[in-house]
Amino acid sequence: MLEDTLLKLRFNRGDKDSLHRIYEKYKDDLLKLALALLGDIALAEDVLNDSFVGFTKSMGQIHLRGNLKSFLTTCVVNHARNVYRVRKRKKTVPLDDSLPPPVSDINSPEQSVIFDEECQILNNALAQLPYEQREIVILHCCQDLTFRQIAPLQNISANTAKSRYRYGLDKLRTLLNSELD
Amino acid sequence: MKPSRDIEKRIRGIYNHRFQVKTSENLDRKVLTNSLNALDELQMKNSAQTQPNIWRIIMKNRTTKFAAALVTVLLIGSFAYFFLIKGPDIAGVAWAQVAQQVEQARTIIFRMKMETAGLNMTEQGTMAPDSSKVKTREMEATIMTSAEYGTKMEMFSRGKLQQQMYILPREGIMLTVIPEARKYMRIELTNKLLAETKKNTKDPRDMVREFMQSEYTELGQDTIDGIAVEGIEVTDPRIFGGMFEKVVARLWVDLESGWPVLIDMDGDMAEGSVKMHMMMYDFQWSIDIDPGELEPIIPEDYTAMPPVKMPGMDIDSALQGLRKFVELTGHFPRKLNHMSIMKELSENVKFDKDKIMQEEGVTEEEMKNPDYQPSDAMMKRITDIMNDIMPVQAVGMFYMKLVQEEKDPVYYGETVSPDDVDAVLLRWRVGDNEYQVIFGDLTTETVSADRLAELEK
Repeated sequence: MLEDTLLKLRFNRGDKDSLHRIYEKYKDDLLKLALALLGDIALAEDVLNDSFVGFTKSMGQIHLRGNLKSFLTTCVVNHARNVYRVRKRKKTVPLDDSLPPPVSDINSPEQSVIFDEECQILNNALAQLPYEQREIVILHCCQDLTFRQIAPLQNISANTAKSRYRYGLDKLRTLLNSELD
Repeated sequence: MKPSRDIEKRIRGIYNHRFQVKTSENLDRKVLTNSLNALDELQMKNSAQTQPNIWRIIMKNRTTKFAAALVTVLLIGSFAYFFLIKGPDIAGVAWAQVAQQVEQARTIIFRMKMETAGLNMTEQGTMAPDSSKVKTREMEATIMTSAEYGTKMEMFSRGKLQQQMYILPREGIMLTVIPEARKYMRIELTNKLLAETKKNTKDPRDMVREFMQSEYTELGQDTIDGIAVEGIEVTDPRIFGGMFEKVVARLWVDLESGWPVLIDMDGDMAEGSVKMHMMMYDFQWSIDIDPGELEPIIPEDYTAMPPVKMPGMDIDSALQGLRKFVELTGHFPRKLNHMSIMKELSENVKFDKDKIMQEEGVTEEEMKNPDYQPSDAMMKRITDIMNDIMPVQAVGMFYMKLVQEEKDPVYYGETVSPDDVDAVLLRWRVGDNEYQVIFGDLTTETVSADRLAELEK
C-alpha cells in the first residue's frame, strides 16, 4: 500500500520510472484478468495495452486515497467490456452470449501461460455465463472487489450486482459439478 | 460448508493457483513503448498549453477576484503557520534516538503533497467562497528549510508552478511570488511575530517530535522504495496543533539510517466536511544548501501587490479577529479550528461580481483576457479586504497555539452570540488556578477556577 501511494504520487508528476514499476507490478494480474474475461490471449493483450495507455493518460489525476490496483482493474474491465461489445456487434460472439474456448489461443509458444484442464473447465463454464454475470463473478470471487465497488462499473445497484453474482454462481455450480465431479 | 462458499472457494483456488499468466517480452515492450509515448505526448501538451491566468480563473467563478485573492493569503498564511508553531518539549519516549537525530538536522529538503476534499477550491488550490460545488483538489510543494537562512516553498498544481513562498527570518518578511499573475506580495512579520517565529520554527523536525510525544501505535515494518522502514501511528487530534478534528498520522523511519522517509496523514476538519490527505516524502536531511537557493528571485516585470501585515498570535490579535469576524458575518465563528473559520467566512462573505465589473469599468470578457491588469483602485480594494481578513486568521492561529500549549482552551461560539455580553466565549488556563476569559462582548478578565465554574454554569 505504501509503495503504491508513492508510485501514484510520483506517476502523477510524470515520473517514467514509476510508470514502469506500476506496469511491472501489475501486468501479469491484469493480463490474467483480461484473459479470464475474454478467453482470448490476443484480445487480452490488446486490452492490457489499451488499458495501460489509458491509465498513462490519467497522469496527474490519480487520487492518492484511491487503491491503485482497483483503478487499474477498472481500466481493464472497461476496456474488456468494450472489446466484448464490439465483437458482439460484429457477430463474432455466438448468440448464446458465450465466447469460444480459448485453448488454441492460449497455448502460444511466446506466452507463459499455465492453463490446465481444470482451468479449461472453469473457463468453459464462465464462457457460458452472460457477460455481466461473468464479469461480476470474476471481480468479486477472484479480484475481491465488493459489490459496492462493482456496481458503478455496470451502472447498477449493489443489490443488483449481488443478485447477478448469485445467479452466475448457481449456474457455475451446476456446470462445474457436472464437469469436475 | 455452504454450497455457495464451496463453489467460491473452488473458483478462487483455480483462478489463483492453477491459472498462471505471464506477459511476453514483446508485449512488455509494446505496452511500455506505447505508454511512454502517451506520457511524452501528454507532458508536451501540458507544457505547451497556456495555463489560465489566475485572474481569469477567478473571474470565471461566480465569486470575484477579491475573494480568491484574499483566501489565497489565508491559505498561504495557514501553510506558513504550519511551519511557525512549536509543540511542547519531548519527554523520554521510545524512538528517542530518531528524534535526537532529527533534532540535530540543520537543513531539510522534502516534498509535500496535499489532497483536500470538501473544500471548494479554485484551480490554483485556493479556497473559493462558493460552497455549491464540492471538489477534490491537489497541491504539491517542494520545501527547503534551513535553520540559518529560512524556508522556501514552491507550490505546484498539476505540475505547474503556482506560487513560491519565502519565509526569511533575517529580513523579517514572508514573500510570495505568483508567476501566473506576474505579481509578488510581501508580508511584514512584526517584531513580536518574528521573535516567536524564530523561537518556534516548525518543520518536519517538530512533527517528528510531536509523533514521539504522542501516544502511538507501532505499525511494524514495511518497505518504501526498497528501503526497510518501521512505522508508528498517532490518532490524537492534538497533534499538529489541533488543526484537525480527527486525524490518523503515520511516521515511517528508515531502519538502517534512522531518518524519517515518509510522514502521511489523513485528517478531518470543519466537522468532517473537509478531508485532507497529506504526505511528506523524498526527504533529504542535513545536506548542504546553497544560501542562494533561499534568495527570492523576482523578475523585473513582476509588480508588487500592496503589502499586508501578518497578524500576531496573541490575545489582542485574536480579539481583533473575532471583532472583524462579527463585523463581516454578524456572529462569532462556530468553531475556532483554522479551516472551519475559513470555510465559515467563505460561506458568509459574498461579493457582487456585477458591481465590481461596473466599478472597474470592464466587461467580463475583458477581465478574462490574460493581459488584463486590475486598476489601482481594484488593487487597493483587494488590499483593504486582505487587511480586513488577515486578523480573522489570528483567531484560528491563537486557538491552535492554546491547544498546542495544552492550556485547556474551551470555546462556546456555537451558543454564545455578541449579545451575550456576560457569557464566556473563550477561556483558557493561564496559571494553576487561573483562567483567562473572553466574554461575548469581547471584554477579557482573569478569573479563578471557582469563578470560572460559576460563569460556565
